[in-house]
Amino acid sequence: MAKFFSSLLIILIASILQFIFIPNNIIINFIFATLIIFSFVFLREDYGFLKLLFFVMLGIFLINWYPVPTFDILVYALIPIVIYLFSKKFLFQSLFCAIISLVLGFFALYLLIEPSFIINSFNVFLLDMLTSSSFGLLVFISMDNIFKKTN
Amino acid sequence: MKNKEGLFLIFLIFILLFLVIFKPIYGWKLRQFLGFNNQSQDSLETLKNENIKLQSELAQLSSIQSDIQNGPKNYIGAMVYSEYPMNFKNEITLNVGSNQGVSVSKAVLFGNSFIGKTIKVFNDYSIVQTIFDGDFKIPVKIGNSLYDGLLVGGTSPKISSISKKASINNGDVIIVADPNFPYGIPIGTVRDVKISSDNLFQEATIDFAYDMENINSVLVQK
Repeated sequence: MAKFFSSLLIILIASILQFIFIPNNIIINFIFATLIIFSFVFLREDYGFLKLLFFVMLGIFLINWYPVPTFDILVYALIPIVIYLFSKKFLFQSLFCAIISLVLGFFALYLLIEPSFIINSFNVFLLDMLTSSSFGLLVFISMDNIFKKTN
Repeated sequence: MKNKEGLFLIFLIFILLFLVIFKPIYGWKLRQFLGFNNQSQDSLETLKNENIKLQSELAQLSSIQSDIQNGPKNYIGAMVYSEYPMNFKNEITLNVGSNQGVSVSKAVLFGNSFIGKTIKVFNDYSIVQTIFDGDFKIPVKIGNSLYDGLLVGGTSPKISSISKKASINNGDVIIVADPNFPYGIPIGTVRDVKISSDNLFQEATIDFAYDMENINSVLVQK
Protein backbone atom coordinates (compact mmCIF):
# COMPACT_ATOMS: atom_id res chain seq x y z
CA MET A 1 0.00 0.00 0.00
CA ALA A 2 2.96 2.30 0.71
CA LYS A 3 4.11 1.89 -2.89
CA PHE A 4 0.62 2.79 -4.14
CA PHE A 5 0.41 6.00 -2.11
CA SER A 6 4.01 6.93 -3.00
CA SER A 7 3.05 6.50 -6.65
CA LEU A 8 0.03 8.73 -6.08
CA LEU A 9 2.32 11.41 -4.69
CA ILE A 10 4.75 11.01 -7.60
CA ILE A 11 2.03 11.36 -10.25
CA LEU A 12 0.86 14.49 -8.43
CA ILE A 13 4.39 15.93 -8.52
CA ALA A 14 4.70 14.99 -12.21
CA SER A 15 1.38 16.76 -12.92
CA ILE A 16 2.41 19.93 -11.15
CA LEU A 17 5.73 19.92 -13.02
CA GLN A 18 3.98 19.35 -16.36
CA PHE A 19 1.46 22.15 -15.81
CA ILE A 20 3.92 24.70 -14.43
CA PHE A 21 7.20 24.02 -16.23
CA ILE A 22 6.48 24.95 -19.88
CA PRO A 23 9.72 26.37 -21.36
CA ASN A 24 9.07 28.37 -24.58
CA ASN A 25 5.62 26.83 -25.01
CA ILE A 26 7.16 23.33 -25.07
CA ILE A 27 5.21 20.80 -23.02
CA ILE A 28 7.33 18.28 -21.15
CA ASN A 29 5.48 14.98 -20.71
CA PHE A 30 6.41 14.23 -17.10
CA ILE A 31 3.16 12.31 -16.58
CA PHE A 32 3.76 10.06 -19.59
CA ALA A 33 7.33 9.24 -18.47
CA THR A 34 6.04 8.48 -14.97
CA LEU A 35 3.39 6.11 -16.35
CA ILE A 36 6.04 4.24 -18.35
CA ILE A 37 8.12 3.85 -15.18
CA PHE A 38 5.03 2.70 -13.26
CA SER A 39 4.70 -0.17 -15.75
CA PHE A 40 7.95 -1.47 -14.17
CA VAL A 41 7.15 -0.43 -10.60
CA PHE A 42 3.99 -2.56 -10.48
CA LEU A 43 5.38 -5.49 -12.47
CA ARG A 44 5.68 -7.86 -9.51
CA GLU A 45 2.88 -6.43 -7.42
CA ASP A 46 -0.40 -8.14 -6.63
CA TYR A 47 -2.97 -6.54 -8.90
CA GLY A 48 -0.08 -4.74 -10.61
CA PHE A 49 -2.02 -4.39 -13.85
CA LEU A 50 -5.03 -2.86 -12.08
CA LYS A 51 -2.77 -0.46 -10.20
CA LEU A 52 -1.11 0.61 -13.44
CA LEU A 53 -4.53 0.97 -15.07
CA PHE A 54 -5.66 3.18 -12.19
CA PHE A 55 -2.66 5.50 -12.64
CA VAL A 56 -3.09 5.56 -16.43
CA MET A 57 -6.73 6.59 -15.94
CA LEU A 58 -5.70 9.19 -13.38
CA GLY A 59 -3.10 10.55 -15.82
CA ILE A 60 -5.71 10.78 -18.57
CA PHE A 61 -8.19 12.39 -16.20
CA LEU A 62 -5.59 15.09 -15.51
CA ILE A 63 -4.30 15.75 -19.03
CA ASN A 64 -7.44 15.24 -21.13
CA TRP A 65 -8.41 18.47 -22.85
CA TYR A 66 -11.25 17.26 -25.05
CA PRO A 67 -14.89 16.66 -24.05
CA VAL A 68 -14.88 13.28 -25.87
CA PRO A 69 -12.21 10.54 -26.06
CA THR A 70 -9.61 11.08 -28.81
CA PHE A 71 -7.01 8.99 -30.66
CA ASP A 72 -4.19 11.00 -29.03
CA ILE A 73 -5.38 10.16 -25.53
CA LEU A 74 -5.91 6.51 -26.45
CA VAL A 75 -2.30 6.24 -27.66
CA TYR A 76 -1.11 8.03 -24.52
CA ALA A 77 -2.91 5.43 -22.39
CA LEU A 78 -2.03 2.33 -24.38
CA ILE A 79 1.77 2.75 -24.54
CA PRO A 80 2.43 2.23 -20.77
CA ILE A 81 -0.01 -0.71 -20.79
CA VAL A 82 1.75 -2.34 -23.77
CA ILE A 83 5.13 -1.83 -22.06
CA TYR A 84 3.75 -3.46 -18.90
CA LEU A 85 2.45 -6.51 -20.79
CA PHE A 86 5.68 -6.83 -22.79
CA SER A 87 7.85 -6.53 -19.67
CA LYS A 88 5.69 -9.05 -17.82
CA LYS A 89 6.06 -11.56 -20.62
CA PHE A 90 9.81 -11.17 -21.02
CA LEU A 91 10.60 -10.30 -17.36
CA PHE A 92 12.19 -6.96 -18.19
CA GLN A 93 12.62 -4.79 -15.12
CA SER A 94 16.20 -3.51 -14.94
CA LEU A 95 17.25 0.11 -15.18
CA PHE A 96 18.49 -0.55 -18.71
CA CYS A 97 15.05 -1.84 -19.72
CA ALA A 98 13.43 1.26 -18.19
CA ILE A 99 15.71 3.53 -20.25
CA ILE A 100 14.96 1.60 -23.45
CA SER A 101 11.23 1.69 -22.67
CA LEU A 102 11.26 5.44 -22.09
CA VAL A 103 13.04 6.09 -25.40
CA LEU A 104 10.83 3.66 -27.34
CA GLY A 105 7.71 4.94 -25.56
CA PHE A 106 8.41 8.52 -26.59
CA PHE A 107 9.24 7.50 -30.16
CA ALA A 108 6.00 5.50 -30.32
CA LEU A 109 3.97 8.41 -28.92
CA TYR A 110 5.33 10.87 -31.47
CA LEU A 111 5.29 8.41 -34.39
CA LEU A 112 1.70 7.30 -33.79
CA ILE A 113 0.23 10.78 -33.25
CA GLU A 114 2.28 13.06 -35.54
CA PRO A 115 5.27 11.33 -37.21
CA SER A 116 6.39 14.45 -39.11
CA PHE A 117 6.80 16.31 -35.80
CA ILE A 118 10.04 14.44 -35.01
CA ILE A 119 11.67 15.73 -38.21
CA ASN A 120 10.08 19.19 -38.28
CA SER A 121 10.64 19.96 -34.60
CA PHE A 122 13.43 17.61 -33.60
CA ASN A 123 14.69 19.98 -30.87
CA VAL A 124 11.27 20.00 -29.20
CA PHE A 125 11.06 16.20 -29.39
CA LEU A 126 14.56 15.82 -27.95
CA LEU A 127 13.96 18.30 -25.13
CA ASP A 128 10.70 16.60 -24.21
CA MET A 129 12.15 13.08 -24.32
CA LEU A 130 15.38 13.88 -22.44
CA THR A 131 13.77 15.98 -19.70
CA SER A 132 10.82 13.65 -19.15
CA SER A 133 13.01 10.53 -19.26
CA SER A 134 15.42 12.03 -16.72
CA PHE A 135 12.50 12.58 -14.38
CA GLY A 136 11.26 9.06 -15.10
CA LEU A 137 14.64 7.52 -14.32
CA LEU A 138 14.82 9.49 -11.09
CA VAL A 139 11.45 8.01 -10.12
CA PHE A 140 12.61 4.51 -11.10
CA ILE A 141 15.86 4.71 -9.10
CA SER A 142 14.15 6.28 -6.06
CA MET A 143 11.36 3.72 -5.93
CA ASP A 144 13.75 0.87 -6.62
CA ASN A 145 15.93 1.91 -3.68
CA ILE A 146 13.09 2.69 -1.28
CA PHE A 147 11.06 -0.46 -1.91
CA LYS A 148 13.91 -2.93 -2.49
CA LYS A 149 13.71 -4.13 1.11
CA THR A 150 9.98 -4.63 1.03
CA ASN A 151 10.05 -6.80 -2.11
CA MET B 1 -8.55 -9.07 1.84
CA LYS B 2 -6.69 -9.24 -1.46
CA ASN B 3 -9.95 -9.66 -3.34
CA LYS B 4 -11.21 -6.50 -1.66
CA GLU B 5 -8.10 -4.62 -2.84
CA GLY B 6 -8.70 -5.75 -6.41
CA LEU B 7 -12.38 -4.84 -6.29
CA PHE B 8 -11.56 -1.44 -4.81
CA LEU B 9 -9.07 -0.77 -7.64
CA ILE B 10 -11.65 -1.78 -10.26
CA PHE B 11 -14.15 0.55 -8.56
CA LEU B 12 -11.67 3.46 -8.69
CA ILE B 13 -10.81 2.74 -12.34
CA PHE B 14 -14.51 2.82 -13.28
CA ILE B 15 -15.03 6.08 -11.41
CA LEU B 16 -12.10 7.65 -13.29
CA LEU B 17 -13.37 6.24 -16.60
CA PHE B 18 -16.80 7.72 -15.90
CA LEU B 19 -15.27 11.10 -15.05
CA VAL B 20 -13.05 11.12 -18.18
CA ILE B 21 -15.96 10.32 -20.49
CA PHE B 22 -18.94 12.05 -18.87
CA LYS B 23 -17.55 14.71 -16.53
CA PRO B 24 -14.20 15.90 -17.97
CA ILE B 25 -14.82 19.29 -16.37
CA TYR B 26 -13.65 17.92 -12.99
CA GLY B 27 -10.32 16.93 -14.53
CA TRP B 28 -9.95 20.40 -16.07
CA LYS B 29 -10.69 22.04 -12.74
CA LEU B 30 -8.18 19.83 -10.94
CA ARG B 31 -5.64 20.63 -13.63
CA GLN B 32 -6.23 24.36 -13.20
CA PHE B 33 -5.75 23.91 -9.47
CA LEU B 34 -2.50 21.96 -9.91
CA GLY B 35 -1.25 24.44 -12.51
CA PHE B 36 -1.64 27.30 -10.01
CA ASN B 37 -2.70 29.66 -12.80
CA ASN B 38 -1.32 33.04 -11.84
CA GLN B 39 -4.17 35.55 -11.89
CA SER B 40 -1.87 38.51 -11.21
CA GLN B 41 -0.07 37.87 -14.51
CA ASP B 42 -3.34 38.67 -16.27
CA SER B 43 -3.35 42.34 -15.28
CA LEU B 44 0.22 42.94 -16.48
CA GLU B 45 -0.51 41.19 -19.74
CA THR B 46 -3.74 43.16 -20.13
CA LEU B 47 -1.67 46.36 -19.96
CA LYS B 48 0.74 45.02 -22.60
CA ASN B 49 -2.28 44.12 -24.70
CA GLU B 50 -3.66 47.63 -24.37
CA ASN B 51 -0.35 48.98 -25.63
CA ILE B 52 -0.43 46.75 -28.71
CA LYS B 53 -4.07 47.66 -29.30
CA LEU B 54 -3.18 51.36 -29.27
CA GLN B 55 -0.36 50.77 -31.72
CA SER B 56 -2.75 48.83 -33.93
CA GLU B 57 -5.31 51.65 -33.89
CA LEU B 58 -2.59 54.17 -34.70
CA ALA B 59 -1.49 52.06 -37.67
CA GLN B 60 -5.05 51.87 -38.96
CA LEU B 61 -5.86 55.53 -38.37
CA SER B 62 -2.76 56.75 -40.14
CA SER B 63 -3.48 54.84 -43.32
CA ILE B 64 -6.82 53.19 -43.88
CA GLN B 65 -9.24 54.42 -41.25
CA SER B 66 -11.64 55.67 -43.89
CA ASP B 67 -11.62 52.37 -45.75
CA ILE B 68 -12.27 49.92 -43.01
CA GLN B 69 -15.46 48.92 -41.27
CA ASN B 70 -15.61 48.51 -37.57
CA GLY B 71 -15.45 44.84 -36.57
CA PRO B 72 -18.43 43.26 -34.91
CA LYS B 73 -18.66 44.20 -31.25
CA ASN B 74 -20.45 41.07 -30.11
CA TYR B 75 -17.96 38.99 -28.20
CA ILE B 76 -18.66 36.63 -25.36
CA GLY B 77 -16.38 36.14 -22.37
CA ALA B 78 -15.13 32.59 -21.77
CA MET B 79 -12.94 30.76 -19.29
CA VAL B 80 -10.08 28.54 -20.43
CA TYR B 81 -10.68 25.07 -19.01
CA SER B 82 -7.77 23.13 -20.38
CA GLU B 83 -4.98 22.93 -22.96
CA TYR B 84 -3.84 20.19 -25.33
CA PRO B 85 -1.41 18.16 -23.21
CA MET B 86 1.33 17.44 -25.77
CA ASN B 87 3.42 19.31 -28.33
CA PHE B 88 1.71 18.23 -31.55
CA LYS B 89 -1.07 20.79 -31.36
CA ASN B 90 -1.81 23.97 -29.47
CA GLU B 91 -5.47 23.92 -28.58
CA ILE B 92 -7.44 25.21 -25.62
CA THR B 93 -10.86 24.22 -24.31
CA LEU B 94 -13.35 26.97 -23.44
CA ASN B 95 -16.45 26.84 -21.25
CA VAL B 96 -18.75 28.21 -23.96
CA GLY B 97 -20.33 26.38 -26.87
CA SER B 98 -23.24 26.44 -29.28
CA ASN B 99 -25.67 26.96 -26.37
CA GLN B 100 -23.96 30.30 -25.73
CA GLY B 101 -23.97 31.28 -29.43
CA VAL B 102 -20.44 30.22 -30.37
CA SER B 103 -19.82 28.70 -33.81
CA VAL B 104 -16.84 27.34 -35.76
CA SER B 105 -14.17 29.63 -37.30
CA LYS B 106 -14.72 32.59 -34.99
CA ALA B 107 -11.98 34.83 -33.64
CA VAL B 108 -10.75 34.34 -30.09
CA LEU B 109 -9.06 37.23 -28.28
CA PHE B 110 -7.07 37.65 -25.10
CA GLY B 111 -7.54 41.22 -24.00
CA ASN B 112 -7.35 42.83 -27.42
CA SER B 113 -4.95 40.38 -29.04
CA PHE B 114 -5.99 37.69 -31.51
CA ILE B 115 -4.91 34.31 -30.14
CA GLY B 116 -6.76 31.82 -32.37
CA LYS B 117 -10.01 30.56 -33.81
CA THR B 118 -12.73 28.10 -32.81
CA ILE B 119 -12.33 24.80 -34.65
CA LYS B 120 -14.83 22.55 -32.88
CA VAL B 121 -17.94 23.57 -30.97
CA PHE B 122 -19.88 21.37 -28.54
CA ASN B 123 -23.05 22.33 -26.65
CA ASP B 124 -21.23 23.87 -23.69
CA TYR B 125 -17.56 23.67 -24.71
CA SER B 126 -15.51 24.74 -27.68
CA ILE B 127 -12.00 23.93 -28.88
CA VAL B 128 -9.74 26.76 -30.05
CA GLN B 129 -6.75 26.31 -32.36
CA THR B 130 -4.24 28.94 -31.24
CA ILE B 131 -1.62 30.71 -33.31
CA PHE B 132 0.96 28.52 -31.55
CA ASP B 133 -0.38 25.45 -33.37
CA GLY B 134 1.91 24.22 -36.18
CA ASP B 135 -1.00 24.04 -38.65
CA PHE B 136 -2.25 27.58 -38.03
CA LYS B 137 -1.92 30.03 -40.93
CA ILE B 138 -3.54 33.44 -41.40
CA PRO B 139 -2.92 36.47 -43.66
CA VAL B 140 -1.76 39.54 -41.76
CA LYS B 141 -0.78 43.19 -42.32
CA ILE B 142 2.34 44.71 -40.80
CA GLY B 143 3.18 48.22 -39.66
CA ASN B 144 1.72 51.63 -40.59
CA SER B 145 2.15 50.85 -44.30
CA LEU B 146 0.19 47.60 -43.87
CA TYR B 147 2.57 45.31 -45.72
CA ASP B 148 1.22 41.83 -46.45
CA GLY B 149 2.50 38.75 -44.68
CA LEU B 150 1.44 35.25 -43.70
CA LEU B 151 1.44 34.23 -40.06
CA VAL B 152 2.67 30.65 -39.73
CA GLY B 153 1.93 29.04 -36.38
CA GLY B 154 4.19 26.88 -34.24
CA THR B 155 5.92 26.95 -30.87
CA SER B 156 7.53 30.19 -32.17
CA PRO B 157 5.10 31.65 -34.73
CA LYS B 158 6.58 33.79 -37.49
CA ILE B 159 5.45 36.02 -40.34
CA SER B 160 6.58 34.72 -43.70
CA SER B 161 6.10 35.79 -47.35
CA ILE B 162 6.85 39.47 -46.64
CA SER B 163 7.97 41.26 -49.80
CA LYS B 164 11.71 42.05 -49.86
CA LYS B 165 10.74 45.62 -50.75
CA ALA B 166 8.69 46.06 -47.57
CA SER B 167 10.29 48.27 -44.96
CA ILE B 168 9.61 46.39 -41.75
CA ASN B 169 10.97 47.59 -38.44
CA ASN B 170 11.20 46.02 -35.01
CA GLY B 171 8.11 47.00 -33.00
CA ASP B 172 5.78 47.31 -36.01
CA VAL B 173 2.34 46.07 -35.10
CA ILE B 174 0.93 42.95 -36.79
CA ILE B 175 -2.83 42.81 -37.41
CA VAL B 176 -5.28 40.19 -38.71
CA ALA B 177 -6.21 40.51 -42.41
CA ASP B 178 -8.29 37.38 -42.89
CA PRO B 179 -11.76 37.89 -44.41
CA ASN B 180 -13.20 35.36 -41.94
CA PHE B 181 -12.40 37.60 -38.95
CA PRO B 182 -12.94 41.26 -38.07
CA TYR B 183 -10.24 43.31 -39.77
CA GLY B 184 -7.43 44.84 -37.78
CA ILE B 185 -7.31 42.77 -34.60
CA PRO B 186 -3.74 43.07 -33.29
CA ILE B 187 -1.66 39.90 -32.95
CA GLY B 188 1.66 41.21 -31.66
CA THR B 189 4.65 43.24 -32.77
CA VAL B 190 7.65 42.49 -34.97
CA ARG B 191 10.65 41.34 -32.92
CA ASP B 192 13.19 40.67 -35.61
CA VAL B 193 13.28 40.66 -39.43
CA LYS B 194 15.53 38.68 -41.78
CA ILE B 195 15.66 37.40 -45.35
CA SER B 196 14.06 33.96 -45.76
CA SER B 197 16.25 30.92 -46.46
CA ASP B 198 15.07 30.75 -50.10
CA ASN B 199 16.14 34.41 -50.47
CA LEU B 200 12.77 35.35 -52.02
CA PHE B 201 11.00 37.04 -49.08
CA GLN B 202 11.53 38.55 -45.67
CA GLU B 203 10.34 36.82 -42.53
CA ALA B 204 9.78 38.16 -39.04
CA THR B 205 9.59 36.77 -35.54
CA ILE B 206 6.86 38.07 -33.23
CA ASP B 207 6.68 39.58 -29.75
CA PHE B 208 3.48 38.71 -27.94
CA ALA B 209 1.98 40.66 -25.07
CA TYR B 210 1.11 37.47 -23.15
CA ASP B 211 2.19 33.95 -22.30
CA MET B 212 -0.26 31.27 -23.37
CA GLU B 213 0.08 29.37 -20.10
CA ASN B 214 -1.09 32.43 -18.14
CA ILE B 215 -4.30 32.90 -20.09
CA ASN B 216 -7.35 32.08 -17.99
CA SER B 217 -10.09 33.98 -19.79
CA VAL B 218 -10.68 35.01 -23.40
CA LEU B 219 -13.26 36.69 -25.64
CA VAL B 220 -14.97 34.70 -28.39
CA GLN B 221 -16.58 36.31 -31.42
CA LYS B 222 -20.27 35.34 -31.63
